[in-house]
Amino acid sequence: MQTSLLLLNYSRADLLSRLEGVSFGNDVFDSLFGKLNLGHLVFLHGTSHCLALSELLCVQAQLALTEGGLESKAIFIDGGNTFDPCLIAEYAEQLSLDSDKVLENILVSRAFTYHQLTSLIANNLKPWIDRLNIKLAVVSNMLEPYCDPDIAEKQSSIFFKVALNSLVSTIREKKIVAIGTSLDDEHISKNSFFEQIAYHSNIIAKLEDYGDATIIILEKHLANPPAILLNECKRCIPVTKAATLLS
Amino acid sequence: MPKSTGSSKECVQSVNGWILDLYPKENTMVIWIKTEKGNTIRLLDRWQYSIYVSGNHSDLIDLAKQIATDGVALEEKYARPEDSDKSTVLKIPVSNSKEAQGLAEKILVYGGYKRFRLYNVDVKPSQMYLYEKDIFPFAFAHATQRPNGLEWRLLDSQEEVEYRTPPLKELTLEVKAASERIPKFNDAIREINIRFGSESIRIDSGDELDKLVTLVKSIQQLDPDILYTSNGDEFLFPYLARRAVENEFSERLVIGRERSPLRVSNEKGASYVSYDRVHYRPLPTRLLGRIHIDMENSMLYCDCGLQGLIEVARICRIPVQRVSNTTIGTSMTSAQLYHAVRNDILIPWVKADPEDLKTARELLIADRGGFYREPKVGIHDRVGELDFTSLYPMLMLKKNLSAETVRCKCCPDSTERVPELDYNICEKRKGIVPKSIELLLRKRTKYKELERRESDPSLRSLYEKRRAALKWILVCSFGYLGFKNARFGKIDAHIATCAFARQTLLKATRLAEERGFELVHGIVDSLWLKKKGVTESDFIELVDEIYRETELPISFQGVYRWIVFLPSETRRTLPVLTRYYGVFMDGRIKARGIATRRHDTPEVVRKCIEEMLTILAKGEDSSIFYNRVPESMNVLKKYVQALKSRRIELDDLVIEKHLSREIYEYRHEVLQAIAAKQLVREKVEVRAGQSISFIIINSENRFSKNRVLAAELVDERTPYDVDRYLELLFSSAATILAPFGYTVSYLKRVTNLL
Repeated sequence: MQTSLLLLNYSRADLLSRLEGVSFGNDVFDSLFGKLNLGHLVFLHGTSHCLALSELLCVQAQLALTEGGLESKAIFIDGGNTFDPCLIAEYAEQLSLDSDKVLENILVSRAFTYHQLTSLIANNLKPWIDRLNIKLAVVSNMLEPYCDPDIAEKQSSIFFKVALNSLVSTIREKKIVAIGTSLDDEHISKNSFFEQIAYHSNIIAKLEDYGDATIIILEKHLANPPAILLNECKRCIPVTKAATLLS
Repeated sequence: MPKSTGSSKECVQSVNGWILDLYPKENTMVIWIKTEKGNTIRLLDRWQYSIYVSGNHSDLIDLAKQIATDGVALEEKYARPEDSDKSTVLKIPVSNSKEAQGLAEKILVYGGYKRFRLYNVDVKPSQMYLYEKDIFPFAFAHATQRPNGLEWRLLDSQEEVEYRTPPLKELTLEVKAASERIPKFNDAIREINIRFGSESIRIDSGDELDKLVTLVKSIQQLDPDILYTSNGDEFLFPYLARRAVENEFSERLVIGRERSPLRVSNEKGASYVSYDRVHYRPLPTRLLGRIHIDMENSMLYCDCGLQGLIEVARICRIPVQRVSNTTIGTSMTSAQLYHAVRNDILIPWVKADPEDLKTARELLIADRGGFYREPKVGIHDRVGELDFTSLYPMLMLKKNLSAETVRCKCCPDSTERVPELDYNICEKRKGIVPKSIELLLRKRTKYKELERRESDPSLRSLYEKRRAALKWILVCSFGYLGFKNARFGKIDAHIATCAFARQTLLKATRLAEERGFELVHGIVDSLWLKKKGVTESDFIELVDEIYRETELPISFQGVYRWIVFLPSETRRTLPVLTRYYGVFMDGRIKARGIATRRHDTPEVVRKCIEEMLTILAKGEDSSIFYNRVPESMNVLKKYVQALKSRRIELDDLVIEKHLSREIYEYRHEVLQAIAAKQLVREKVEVRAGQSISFIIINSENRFSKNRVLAAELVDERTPYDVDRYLELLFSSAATILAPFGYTVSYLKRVTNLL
């Protein structure tokens, strides 16, 4: 896939008014990504800031529609045992929200094997969305369990396909925003999982460390193409940690 | 050479004896029995094991039609341990593990990976036979041949602590290759040594083929039940197999009791991760009808000897051969599988049931691990140590903590609740995990009692080994609750156990504080307490009260004359958990987390620190301790002088480190990777998880390959890096004296190195 560094020309206000979805609540991210639309799959990979961003979105999703939220609880399917409730509480406090309430509104389930992850996505996600009226689901470390060197590649490919297809159909049918993350770029380059997820994703962004800053490389952005002018330019957008951006 | 007592393969109608070994062969189970007279008898039992499939009823019928082989039938079983009712499942008989695996994969594909769940696929047939027949290895039993197979009657019990073991013939095999240094597969055999009791046979004459022929003959004549080797799995047997090929003898290289010869295998051993550490296990060599124990690769054997292996085999129902070369977790799991099979619960092929959904707030409260209170850095007088005995397994048993019982669906209003989290615990049934550890806990207590009462040292040692083996299994039982591949584990049960443990330690701390004790340190299941003018009986009274209040066994380890809790090596103001040393009133030294306990400490450093501690231990209290410090410095000076004048034996300089990854994955030239590369150049196979031994020869050399030398390549001319070893010595000494202001540079100054 060709990597392009994109800068969106539309102002944040424009995007908020046009699209139904969740925003990052931060000018830099919002101007880059726009709102993350219902029914879309967003895939973030690279540094651990992907996790920070996905956790930030779990807080943002709980905000009112007028504040760029979804007025919804969030589900966090944790494929890497990386979910950090302390970070969530920190975000909540920065937004002057009741951190206990914010934590109550994020439902977590951890998967320790690729079978468990597949089962969560293929069997549990849809009923949970229905029961809890969820609008945002995060699947963190989505590729890693399938890249375990102890598992036969054929076996893990099949289960990954089952999980991905289920996730995509759930997103489309239930009209939710889904965020997938992966911190394992080494494995991404070795198998076809990335190609498969790229095919289904509406947005793909790679986060890379660059000294003290983090660079976001927007690799794909298909949300409402006529509404968003994708200006290809040679500039990256340097950002520091997501948590810092909130302040 | 002694005459063979001979193995019998004759057909017998009935026999009394011990179950020595068993394995499947073409729809039968082969069982080797050792009789009281010392004869070995081979029994055959027509027996087939089955895999099971669950799914929608019509899908199962459809699948049954597709498979259409004899014995396929619908049966009623519990598909999940938490199910209240049995489900209809499809039973499919298979002839071997390979067929089971292949068929299971096909069924998954046929069901589109969604319609079917598979069970009992990867359970070893020998274990399944033991579960189904309700017998166990090394059990004394009566077997009768009936038209429909063997009938077993146990004349023994797993409960028994003073059981008899069979008269075993044990033999040690050693093979030396022609090469002087590192033996390789293409080196000819130089010498074979067979030791049995006080006798030995040395095979060193004739050509290589003669040696192999004599080896096979000797083994057949001696007919051992147990064959010990050093590195038999990794080198000795693969080497013999390759030499046999070289000499066109491979069809006759029979070491086991069956006629099947040893083969050259292209399969490799496995690296695996346990508690964040990579381990390596070579491919085991199976000698059918005999038990092969690779002394280098059997942790349980090294720790608990043959008696420990037999105890685990009996209690977990897993053949001794497998106990010796597999992880403790595998043995522990076998005990759980037995209870599942006996209760008609199917064993899932893969663990697909994930953690129950919980809120982030719940996770914040739940996922906190065990109890700990940071130690108060420095020296403390008259501190008592209290340890709960097998706290976690005890809680799992008493509180009924298992995957299927914590947050069960059948008792949402149960009065049994998990503290802090309020999870319900099943009141209707006992979980598989508690069931599987109940006997272990009971027997461990019995062995402890026998050990305490026994005056005969050999019997005391026997009980001690059996108890130690059980302790390993119990230690593992808690970890497995949260282990991703544990069949009957679940993170919620793991979390619940930790919550109960925290509650217990908090309660104990509160009781101690009410009696005026001060908590100096607390971690997981242990407390260190002190009080002005305290006596031993004060501690014993406290222990009694804690036991009354918690109903959990707790032991008083003793009072320390003094104990030193150490700070972080990098930040001296911060305490570190489990890094301390102290001396009990009876003079016993206990140390944790310092150089004497680390596996990568060279002997020279270990000896120095041990000698320093011995001198410090003479101090009755902290004031005398301080007076002893200068004397301990003399020890340090002695070792510094010995290193500088190169009077240290090379063996005492060897450092052993683990390879945490494959060599090609190392990005930095760490010392163990450099040594490993040297071995690879010598055609030695090196894998992640293996330990690499080396000597530092010149740590500052600009060419990394010249910094260390693998221990296997060292000879008497090998130089060593005096400065680097001095650094290691000073650093270890500074660690134990850190709370008193001693630093590496100060120690260098007082030993005249600066």
